Amino acid sequence: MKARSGQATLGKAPALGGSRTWLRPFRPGRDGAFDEAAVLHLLRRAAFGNPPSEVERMLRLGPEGAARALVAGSEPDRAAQSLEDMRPFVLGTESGRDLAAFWFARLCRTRHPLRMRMTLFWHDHFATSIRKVRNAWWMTEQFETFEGLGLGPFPDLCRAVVKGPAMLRWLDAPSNRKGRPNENLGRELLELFTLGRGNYGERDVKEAARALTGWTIIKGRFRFDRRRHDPGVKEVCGKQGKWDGDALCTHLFSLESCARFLAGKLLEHFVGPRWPVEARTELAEVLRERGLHIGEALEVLLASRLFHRPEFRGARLRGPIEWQAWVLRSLGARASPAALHRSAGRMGQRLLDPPDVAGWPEGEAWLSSASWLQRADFALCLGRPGGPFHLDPPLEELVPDRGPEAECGFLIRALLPEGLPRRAEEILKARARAEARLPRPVRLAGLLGALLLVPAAHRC
Amino acid sequence: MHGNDVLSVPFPPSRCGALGLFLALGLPALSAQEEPAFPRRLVDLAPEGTAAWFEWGGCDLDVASLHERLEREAERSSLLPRLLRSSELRRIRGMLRLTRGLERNGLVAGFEDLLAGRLVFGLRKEGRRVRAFALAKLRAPSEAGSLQRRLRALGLEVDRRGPYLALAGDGRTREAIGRAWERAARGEGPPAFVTDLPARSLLRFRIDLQELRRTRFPLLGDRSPVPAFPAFLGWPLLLSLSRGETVEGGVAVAADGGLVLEVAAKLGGIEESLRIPLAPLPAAGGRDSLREGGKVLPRLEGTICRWRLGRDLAAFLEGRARLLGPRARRQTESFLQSLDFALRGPRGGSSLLQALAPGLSGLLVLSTEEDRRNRPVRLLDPPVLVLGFPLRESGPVRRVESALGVLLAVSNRDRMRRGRLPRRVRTETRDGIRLSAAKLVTPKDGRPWPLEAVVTPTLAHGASWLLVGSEDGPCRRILFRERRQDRRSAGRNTGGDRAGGRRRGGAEESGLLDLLEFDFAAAAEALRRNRKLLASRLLVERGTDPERGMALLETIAQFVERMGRVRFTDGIGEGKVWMRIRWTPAPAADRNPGEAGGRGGRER
Repeated sequence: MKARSGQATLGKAPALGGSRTWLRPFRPGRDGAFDEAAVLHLLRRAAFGNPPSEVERMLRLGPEGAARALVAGSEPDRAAQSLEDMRPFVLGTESGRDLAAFWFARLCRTRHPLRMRMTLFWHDHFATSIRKVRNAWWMTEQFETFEGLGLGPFPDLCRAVVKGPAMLRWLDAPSNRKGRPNENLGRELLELFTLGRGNYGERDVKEAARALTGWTIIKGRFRFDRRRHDPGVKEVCGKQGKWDGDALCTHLFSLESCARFLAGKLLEHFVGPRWPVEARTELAEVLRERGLHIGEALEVLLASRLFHRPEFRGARLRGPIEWQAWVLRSLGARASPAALHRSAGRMGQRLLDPPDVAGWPEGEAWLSSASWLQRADFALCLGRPGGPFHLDPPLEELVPDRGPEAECGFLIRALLPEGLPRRAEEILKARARAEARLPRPVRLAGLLGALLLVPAAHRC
Repeated sequence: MHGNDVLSVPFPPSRCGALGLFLALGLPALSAQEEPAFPRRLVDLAPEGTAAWFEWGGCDLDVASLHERLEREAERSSLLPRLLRSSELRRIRGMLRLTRGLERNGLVAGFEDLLAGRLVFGLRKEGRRVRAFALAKLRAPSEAGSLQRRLRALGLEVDRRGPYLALAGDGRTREAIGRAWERAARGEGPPAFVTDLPARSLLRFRIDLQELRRTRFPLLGDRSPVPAFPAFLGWPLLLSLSRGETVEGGVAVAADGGLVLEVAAKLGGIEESLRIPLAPLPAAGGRDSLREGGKVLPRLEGTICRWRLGRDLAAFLEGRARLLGPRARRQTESFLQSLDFALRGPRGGSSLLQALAPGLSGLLVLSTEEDRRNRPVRLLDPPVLVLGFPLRESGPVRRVESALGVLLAVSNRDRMRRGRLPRRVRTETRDGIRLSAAKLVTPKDGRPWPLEAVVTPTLAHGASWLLVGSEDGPCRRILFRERRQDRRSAGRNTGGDRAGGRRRGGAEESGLLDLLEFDFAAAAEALRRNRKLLASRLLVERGTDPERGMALLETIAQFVERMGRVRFTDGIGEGKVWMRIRWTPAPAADRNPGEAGGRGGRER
């Protein structure tokens, strides 16, 4: 089960006029400073890391410009293009592991990190496992849908995903037929994809399943099989009609609870677990005004006063993949995608294989005693010469050779530019000094490991 | 244990074979002239446990100006100091000094001026581990200090005790070295230094090479923007030894049921001898399964590798009670039972094995244009593997076909469970040749062909061969070629001995036991044809950028291409075992990477 968001009413937001309070654009000066700390917060939440060049660019753009730039992303460069040339070779192996590893490779190189972040977000939202689907091509297709439509109108995305062969097989749609309904797809469509718990009843599930009869897979594609469809009148969430699956989706998207459900999920992901209840109403309004357009809603959210409130900084716990991506992108390094995939799996987030239809448990649930050990393992192995991650460039090239303390300072600046608590920094520097006689690659790997295990490195 | 005692030191023949190949290819030298002041062999001072060695009289190599060019490039580059940190630059300069030493003085790592002209390279057993060591006579004990400084300049850790030096090793190694020192100190030998090559030093050396690889500077005058490939630092030296001449070494003599190899290698007009004591052969019964003079799969166009093992599987299995230990015997019985089960019938496996003539042959070959046309996937072009079993009679082979059907049914069930496409067997019979190929069924669920569609497990047989291949084309070519040769031989013999004709078609050399041929130019071509696939694997496994991965693979291909062709054969004749290594380097034109249209060196 997902960790429930502890929606809390924060101190009242200052009244600024207009219908929105929390989602009003952040005005530097009046609402606080749009300084390096604010940009770092934005980059950690909406991208994965904080390369210095990006920080400068975002500072120049201002809060709204920065949010717009993150949603728009940058054009793929030559390296990204050459990576795409590899796609048929990697996916041609029909191995889920290779597909996941390829995605990790792209994650480390992407020039549109928010899109990749949303791919991960939607993979969790529409959690589908290759373990049951058993078709890497279908999973690839689903990931491409997340990427292509993840920042567009939600109805387009949801329809494409739900009609994708991966989802149809995952939720047994082909066995849902007139007279013998299978409720899996109908139930998850209501509970997990559009409305959320408490916004529908058991009868709505049964009626939705009737509407979805006839959806099947033929030759690897979605087909509507009229003979299997139940053409009778259905009543879902207080409205009646002779609906098929498409009409059911249209009806669900038009419900207020759909926008509220999506708003809640976006707030939890981008703001943190303790978002104010009123903010959800405001974001739901924005979503409804803009046809449930996710990208446009995110532009508003990421440039809002709510997003930049200091109490939300460091309020989220990073999931394993997000954590790995943050480390690598902040260091400006690359690592073995296959090893990253294995390691993320051990930490509790195995791409393409969520634990159940509800996706991965988030928040504090990421840190069990077992997964913490795995995080420690990743931290200590990442920079190790001859280790499984093949960090490239290696630490001894990344970090200027200016003595143990300077090396320690460099790593802190790269990963946690806002600095560490003084005591923690002293401990790290003392360690660096004590290990000064060790070979440099070994010393740096240990230092990086120690730094990655401080609590601040797991929060964003 | 040294001197003649080494004959009793057990040592796995395969390792010695590898050493022999390495030494025969890599260590040419002047003839070893006995020095009057040095009556005993230097190897007598070797540490305990020495199992194989090569004592060498001197060093005088005429190396091409490769390293000079390399050094010139590095020294005149204004970029280098900026690209490299000072410590790296020091290491590179150290390497360059080393290579300059190699050019001027020979293979003893530029230390020839310090050494008294004799050197032993050897392998020493220490428990279950095998260690390499080098042993040399110093010109004067006082020169140990100079040598120590030079080794340190190369980044190697050195221990010094009096006039003796050793690369740092673990405690046991030092003990062994210490004993050698004591013998020298007692006057049982001349001043010498002994060095083991422990893993730590080798690791360090590898790290140095990796650092070199990361620095991008033009090597060999080749301006291609690829990272410097470390092997270039060593291998061209090896390649230039023979000045393009074919290198031949060989001759092993059986002695008292055991083997002592006396390999006389003639390299670039210089002769040198190599002694490798080997363990005795297995009990006399083990030789029952050696069969010389059998058939070998023919060389096809684009053959990368071809091999034959002159073993009689049937005879071996027949004598298993005598030849194998209890555990191996149990495993063999279990294997035979599985074979009987797969071949549907009691003694199905044994009857099949009886139908096989001695000798297991194999071939790795590039695909032809026609093979590629028949493939549904063009993204990659893997070489085709063919295993060949010569037949005494072809009757029981039908059972293998039906077993293939069973195996396929089981495998298809598993494949479907994993969401993979099943395979379907298509059988064709023409002119006495029967070929069953298991092709993937056309995907009907909208997915593209997977990459594995380029592999078509094939079982084929004619009158004289049973072939198992990864694709049908080469199997077909081999069998039809054999057929044509049979007919020609039959015509020449006016209806005479058909089997004799076949023997003439397939036999390579009289008394041939084992054969291993490798054509590096064809291997380079295979690498190039599949470099995108390989780059994608580098991307997935190591995170290497595709462009960098492909550049690296091209560099490896260029390097591999220069290796030319190697042929290793052994056999039995006139009561002796013989062994022959023939190495034909690629023609000089193909060795210049600048002219690497040099894919040309593909003469088959």
